[in-house]
Parts: sequence; C-alpha cells; structure tokens
Amino acid sequence: MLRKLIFPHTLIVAILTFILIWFVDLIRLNLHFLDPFNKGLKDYEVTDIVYSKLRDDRINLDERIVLVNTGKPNRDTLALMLNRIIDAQPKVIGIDLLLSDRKTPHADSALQACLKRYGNTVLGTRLDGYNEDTRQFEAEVDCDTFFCDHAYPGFTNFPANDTRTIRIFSPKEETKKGESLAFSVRVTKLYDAAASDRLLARDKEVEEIYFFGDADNFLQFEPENILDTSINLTPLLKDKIILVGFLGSYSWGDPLIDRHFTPLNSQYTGRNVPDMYGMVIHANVIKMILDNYYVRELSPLVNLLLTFLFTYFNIHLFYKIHHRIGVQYQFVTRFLQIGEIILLFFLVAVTFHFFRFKIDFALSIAALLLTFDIIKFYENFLRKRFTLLNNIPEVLPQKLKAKKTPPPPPQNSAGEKG
Amino acid sequence: MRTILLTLLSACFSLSLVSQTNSNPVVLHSSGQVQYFATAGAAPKKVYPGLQLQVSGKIRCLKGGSAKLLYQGKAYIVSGARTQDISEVVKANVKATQIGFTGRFFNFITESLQESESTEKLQKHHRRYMGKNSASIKGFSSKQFEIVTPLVLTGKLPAAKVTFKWRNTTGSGPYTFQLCDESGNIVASLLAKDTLVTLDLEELAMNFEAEYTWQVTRNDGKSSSAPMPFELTRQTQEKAQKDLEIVSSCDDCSDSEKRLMLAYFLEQENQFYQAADIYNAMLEKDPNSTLTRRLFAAFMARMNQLSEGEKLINSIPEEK
Repeated sequence: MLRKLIFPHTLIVAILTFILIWFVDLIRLNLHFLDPFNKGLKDYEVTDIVYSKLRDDRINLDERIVLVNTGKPNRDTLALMLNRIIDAQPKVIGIDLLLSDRKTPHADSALQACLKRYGNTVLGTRLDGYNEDTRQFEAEVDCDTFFCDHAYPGFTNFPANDTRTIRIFSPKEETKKGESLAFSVRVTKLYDAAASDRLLARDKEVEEIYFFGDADNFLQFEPENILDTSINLTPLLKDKIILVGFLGSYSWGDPLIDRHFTPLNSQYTGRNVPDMYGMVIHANVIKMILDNYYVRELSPLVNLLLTFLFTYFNIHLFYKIHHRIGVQYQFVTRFLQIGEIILLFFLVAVTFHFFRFKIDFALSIAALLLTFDIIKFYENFLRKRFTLLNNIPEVLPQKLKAKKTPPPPPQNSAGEKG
Repeated sequence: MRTILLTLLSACFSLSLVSQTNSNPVVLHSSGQVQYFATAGAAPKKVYPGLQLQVSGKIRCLKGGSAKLLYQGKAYIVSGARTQDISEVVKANVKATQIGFTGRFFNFITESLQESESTEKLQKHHRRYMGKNSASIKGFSSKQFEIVTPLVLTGKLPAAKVTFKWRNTTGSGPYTFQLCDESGNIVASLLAKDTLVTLDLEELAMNFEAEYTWQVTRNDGKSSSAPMPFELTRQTQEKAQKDLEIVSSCDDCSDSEKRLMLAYFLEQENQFYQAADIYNAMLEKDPNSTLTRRLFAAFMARMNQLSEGEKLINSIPEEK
C-alpha cells in the first residue's frame, strides 16, 4: 500500500515547492509600484465572494431583534423614544450610541430617568488606551457616568486593519477595572445568558462574524414610527432585543456616518463605498451568538497537511500526464491548473456556504501554480546537474514490500528438492 | 408502495401550497406618510414596520414617504403618490425563479470571464458601456418642462372653484388642459387660450381622497407641463380652523395671527391652495402687513415660486 502511494521524485518536488513558497514568503519587498494592485487585493478573502456573489439573497426576517433608527436626534427625542420603547416591554434595549458628555440638564435628566426606569439597558462604550505590555486597555470611555451608572456598558470597538473591513469581533477584553464585554455580547447575555456563555466558553480571543445579511433581515423603525402614539408598539417590541442607534438620516452632510465595509459589500475587491451601519453589524453578531452559528476554521497544521497532500498528488498527476502524453504535456497541465483552481474555489465556496467551514486554499493555489515550473526545473536542471538524484528510483523498490509481506509458500522448496 | 409515494407527494404539494398562500407581505421599514387599504374603498390604515398586509390590498405613499415590504424572502420598495396594488408590487417575486448555489457559482464564473474581456471591449465599444456609470447624483434636477406649474396646485384641492395657473417659458397658447384620474381616464378636458383655467371641482365626477393629475400641453404638442398630482378633500377652511383649535388654542392671538396659524396648518396638511387663499385674502385686507408679506413670501419660496416671493419681500418698505 505504502509503495503505491509514495513516489520519491514526487515527494522531492513537493518539498521543493514548499521550500520555494516559504522562501518567497520570507522576502518582504516594498513594491510600491504594485501598490494600486496590492491595495485592491490586500483586504480580500475568497469567502468574500461567497458573501457578496454566491449568497442566497432571500431574506429571513429575524423575529427577535428589532432596529430603531435615531437619525440624529436631540436627547429629548431620544428620551421620548426610549420611554415609548420601554412601555412596549422589550427584553433588552441596546443603545448603540456613545453618550460621552452631557448636553442640557433637562434632556440629560430625562434620558437618565429612562435608564433608571428600565434595568436591561446596554450603553455603547469605547475601549481606549491599549497597553502592549499588560495586554490590557486603560478603560471603557465615551460613556458619561451620569448615564453609564444606570446601564450595562458594552464596548463597540471592532478589530479591523487600515482597509477597515469588519470581519471579526472580540467578545471580551481586559481593562484596568476588570473584564469588559462587547456590546453585542452584553446584549445577548441579558437576552439569553446560555447563548453568551456558549460563546465565552469557546474562549477565543476573536470570533469571525458570520454575516446573515443586511438591515433588511430585521424590522427597522424610524423615530416617527416609535413616537406615533396611534401605533401599538407592544406586540411589535415585547420580549425582543431592541437596538437603538444610527441607521442613516436624510442629511446631505454625513450620509456615511457609522458605515463600515463588510464582506457583504458587492465590491469584493477594492471596496470604496461602506455598506453596513454599525448597528446592523451588532445585530448580525447577536443573531450569530443566539443561533450558535459560528464560523469554523481548520487548524493551521491540518491545513498545511491538506495542502501538502494536495500538492503531492497534483505533482504525481502531472508526472503521470508527462509520461503518458509527452510533448502536449505543457498544454494539458496549464488547462488542468485552471480547472483545479476553479474546483478549489468551488470547494471553498461549498464548505463555507453550507457548513460555515473556512478552508484556506491560498497555499494550495500557490503550490499549484508553481508545480509545473518546479517539475521542469527539477527534471531539466537538478537531475542533470546532480546525477545522484537519478539513482533514486521512480517507485519504491520491491524490497520494502518484501519486508512486510509474509514468506513465500513452501511450493518452491519442494520443486528444488525435486 | 406506489400509494404511499403518491400520498407523500400530494402531502408535500399541498403543504407547499399552504405555505405559499399563508405568507403575507410584512412591512420592513416605512418612512413618511404611507397608507394601506385592505380592500378597495376601505379606510386608509397607517403603515408601520411589522404590519402584516394582504396581497389583495393597496398601498400609497404620500409626501415623499416610502415603505419596504418583505414578501417571500424578497424586499420591495414602494414609493410615489400613486395608489398601487400590492399584488403588482410583488408580482416580480412570483415570477422569479430561485437559482441554486451551483447556478450562482456558474453565473459568477462566467460573469467573471465576461468582465475580464471587457477592458478591450470597453475601449472599442465604449458607448455601449456609457450607461453603467454617471458621476452625478439624482435629486437636484428633474426633467425640464417648458410649461411651469406651481406646487400650490398639488396636494389637496378643495371641492370648490379652483383656478389652475401655469407659465409658459418658451411660447404662448392655445393650450389643452386635461384632468385625469389615477387610471388615466379623462375627467375634464378643455382648450384654453390663456395660462389659466377655472374649474368647479365639486361639479366634476370626482371622488374624495382619490388621486388625480392635471397637465397642460401646448396645442402644437411641442411643450407640456409635468403631470401634477392632487386629491380632492372635504376639508374646508372652517373645518380646518376647528381642527387647529383642538390642537392648539391661542386665546391671546389676534385674528390675523390666527389666520396665519391656519394658513401654516393648512400647508402642513398639504392644502397649499387653501393656504395661499388665506395669504392672498390677508394681503388684500392689509397690504402693508410686513409679517403677512414675509410669511407669504416664505410660503411661495417653498411652493417653487421663488421669484414671486422675492418680489413680495422686495416690496416691503424698509424699517427705520
């Protein structure tokens, strides 16, 4: 069995391929002239295509989460809205606003009274002052104690690089005052403690966000809907999670406030228009935690092993084609490479779409692209230069098999005797 | 075995039918004034998120309002003052076929191939692709009509004598004035040699709260006005005055102040024509009232009659 699977030259070429990839990865050149191209692809993952192009765009309305747009209200209006919402007996209210200072005594007092009136309110905060040595933040800021003392805090930070695409969230962080929970986790904890416990039990520093869809997956109320006393809000909001925050306004000056890039962006490379409001991202995270719908990833070791096996059998396949068809080999393998890349992409898409399994095939694709050239380099240069390599057999010698196989039957010895 | 299979199939079929018939459109989002009519002639109901609608019902957005409906997994935006059948709005959904994952994947791959070819194509046949992008935004301009109509003659018009006016920017009459219902049937049509027509709307075969449009076309057919939507209202100035008193009574206010409040109230209620009537009557009574002139000028500016408003402001004598 082993003899049928191990081909020494294939193994050498596979190892050479991996050494080359490792070597290329080591060289860090600052190729400024490639920047326009580089920037476009810098923040790209194959699964982004699954989100933006292959996702089933049917909307599944979530019955547990309701979004309430504040527009850009004054605090008086916000207090009035909160009072109406509280009257409708929701289970949790998450206010995705940073009440970092005080405005007018009258409005602030009205807002504070709302928070005092209702216990299950979460207020947005911001983590500030990260210390690399202690791996701690200084504190949760941007929430005045006048309000925060009467609500649960939840930080609204999302880790993102300079291209600002939000893919992951941190469930909890350490501050000097102790543990802080993310806004979405805090809201979930108040709604369904078991669900948030499941998340925290995973004990992952960051979680990949599974995006169910945009704001259309949730009911969205405007301030006028909430303040309209002719609408009975109780059947619409009772026992639900109400997220109150900014979902856009008609103001021309700031149409992009609190809008972020997400993998759902229809431009999966070179994104230039943010596609999702922060509150909708929080809603997606909450839904993900409640539904226990986490993105799964293979461990780097398993991923490496899979990539190696893929590369190894691919090289063997190329060798086989080479031996069978000779000259047309180059032509066929190039087509095969394209076909395999599409197949790999299909596999990534299928596993992510149906099983939320994220497989990193980037290394496999790199290996696949290099395979043809490395085989040529090995056959035409290395084997000719280092004749020692020619002593290595194409397949493992029979001896290996003989060691493992039982001794031959006594038939022959009888013949010798005769 | 065959019977069991048939029973299972028919059960699945009937289940799918039931699930299809039971699903009703749900309002995902609404902004501004949106009305829902469960049946023809039923009283309008306010539309708000979470409200379940019947496919057989009708929907109408007023004052630039809009709504987003969710039906069978798809979202539909409704806007415009025209009363629309919900079945018409979601009709596309019934026809739409769901493409499976493999289909979407194949579409993406082939689409990518097409896109990759397009750089050369773009240069060679760039005119074909001109419609893809436009470095501008909608909203600041609309189609320019040579016959300009004032906004005062939209919204809610009284069931009384109404003078329809317009202004021709390029030529002169005669004109064809047409008043149509929402299905496009002509309610009134007449030839006018001047730029105004007075009609007693009470005498026409018109329904209250139904939507109508009026439009003017020059007889040579070269220019026309935009179709101006309006509806007929039962509300009179006297009734509006009573409504206003319920909302806010101002005992200390003078008569003229009360009239100005009424004009503003009518404007808020989309009864621009009656609001303009009040301002005109007040100016006739007291042509030197600075307050009335200023408020009327502001009203005119809001009604797309900026030049008339400016004239009115400029005619106010300077305060010493």
